[in-house]
Amino acid sequence: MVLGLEPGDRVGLLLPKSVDSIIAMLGVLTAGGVYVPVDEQSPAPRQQALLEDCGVRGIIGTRDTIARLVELDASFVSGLGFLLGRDCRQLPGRWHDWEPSAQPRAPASLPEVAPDQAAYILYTSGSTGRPKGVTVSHRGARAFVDWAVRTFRIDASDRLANHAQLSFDLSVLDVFGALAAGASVHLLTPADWVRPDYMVDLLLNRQITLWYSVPSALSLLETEGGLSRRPLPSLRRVLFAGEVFPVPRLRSLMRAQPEAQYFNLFGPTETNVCTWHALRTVPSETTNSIPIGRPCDHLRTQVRTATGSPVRDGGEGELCVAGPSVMLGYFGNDAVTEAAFWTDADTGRWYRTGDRVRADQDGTYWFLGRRDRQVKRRGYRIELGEVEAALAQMPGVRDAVAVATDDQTQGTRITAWVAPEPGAALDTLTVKLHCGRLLPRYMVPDTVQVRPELPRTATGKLDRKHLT
Amino acid sequence: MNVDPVREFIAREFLGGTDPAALESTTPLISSGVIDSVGTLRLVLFLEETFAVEIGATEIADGALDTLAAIGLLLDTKLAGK
Repeated sequence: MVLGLEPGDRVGLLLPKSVDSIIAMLGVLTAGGVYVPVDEQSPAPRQQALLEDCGVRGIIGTRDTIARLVELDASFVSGLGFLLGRDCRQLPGRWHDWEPSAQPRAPASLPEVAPDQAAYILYTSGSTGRPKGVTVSHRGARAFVDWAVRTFRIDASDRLANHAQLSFDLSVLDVFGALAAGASVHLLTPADWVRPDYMVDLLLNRQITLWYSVPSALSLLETEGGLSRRPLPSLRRVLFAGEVFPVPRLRSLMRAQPEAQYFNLFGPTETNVCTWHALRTVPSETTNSIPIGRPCDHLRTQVRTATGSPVRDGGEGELCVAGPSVMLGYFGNDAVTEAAFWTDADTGRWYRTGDRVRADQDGTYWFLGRRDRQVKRRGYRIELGEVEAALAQMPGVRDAVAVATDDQTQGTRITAWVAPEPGAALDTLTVKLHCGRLLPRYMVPDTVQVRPELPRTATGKLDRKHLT
Repeated sequence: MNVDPVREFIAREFLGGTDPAALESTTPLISSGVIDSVGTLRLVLFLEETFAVEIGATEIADGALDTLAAIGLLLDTKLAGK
């Protein structure tokens, strides 16, 4: 409030995951602001695009993260209402030092925050190349956190591991679930992820009771971290979400740690978790997939056809979700927001997830795929159109397409197929480096194929089926 | 430290057999997304096995593996301490 923050103001968080980043989130919310966590490792042009898209009033960052933005566009940083960080005085802009105070003072009065006011904005990949700011209200965040605490019986004795980045919706459960229940949360950084053996040490030594991550992270703990040789008696609940868990890997994990309960959580950032399934037994050798389960009890779901007709009796269709934790909309993007919802006079506003599902007779959902080109890679949601937009900006590229393939051992892999301009020399290294300057690391293609021409259909459209 | 074995490993594993010489000593590897998080683990395991050293999470966080030059420096330091 000393910074002049008004209720509803957006504040960018450009901080490595740390206690500071949690304090910053809580401070912004307490002042009635909207926190916008930005992956501090993503390229500076993308960071600035996100911060400009939602018109942040200020940024809470570090000397290093802000310096990268200054290097890109000092006028953007100078024009912000405030910057808050430690040891940053030499940088341009309206700086305030963040110094720990021995006697913190509570402000005389805190602003009223209405339940429908925005609490946070998380950016997801956009199919046209422009990321979308998923805006979630206090009511929405609270409904989700209450559901998670209630459903997974999180209490003050729990110790949660936070694996996801704070710019990723999985972190809302770890961080706010722990805070709401009076539990502790142990922050894992991207450097920790690289050493699964260290993460298993941490799980053991800190007696973690609840783990929540994408399946690929769990698989790494098992395959590279030695999880199968090291019993974790404290670990009672293992939650996973964000991508399909290959059943052989899940089976192996459940056999390695048989004392824990396992839960498959499902839902996009726009709703957070909307369905869930408790695995009562280890999937058999003949099981090919596991269900995404039944709706969370604070939400309503239904399956509809592409034209909006209800689907019944186990037919396939698009999963639609209504209820308090559904997002307010995409920040500043009314047309895309409108296209993502349909409104029924009797049953209200429904978010169209884009996920194709079918329901069993008892109402249990099974995930069948997407109705668009969105893919998940290690839990990160990627619109291939955003990768293609980056490829199209590369000098010397005449034609480009991004294709995702599933690999049972390494998960989803992205291949960039590019055709060069006459005389241009393209290779894997230069294409990957170009993408890395524009896209978050998880969107950089794994492999690059350079061809004189990309295959086209009789009507002249790119023929993706022949790009494998 | 001659980092040619590392250069060849990276070209083979992450760059589809690109000529190793194209990788300069200052080419960003991890911060650029040329090597992703799972790839970083493979790189760490390769370095540990090839050079008989141990690499910690904090060293990765500090950018000690982000370029061939940095990797060479890290290996020099570790091997000098043996």
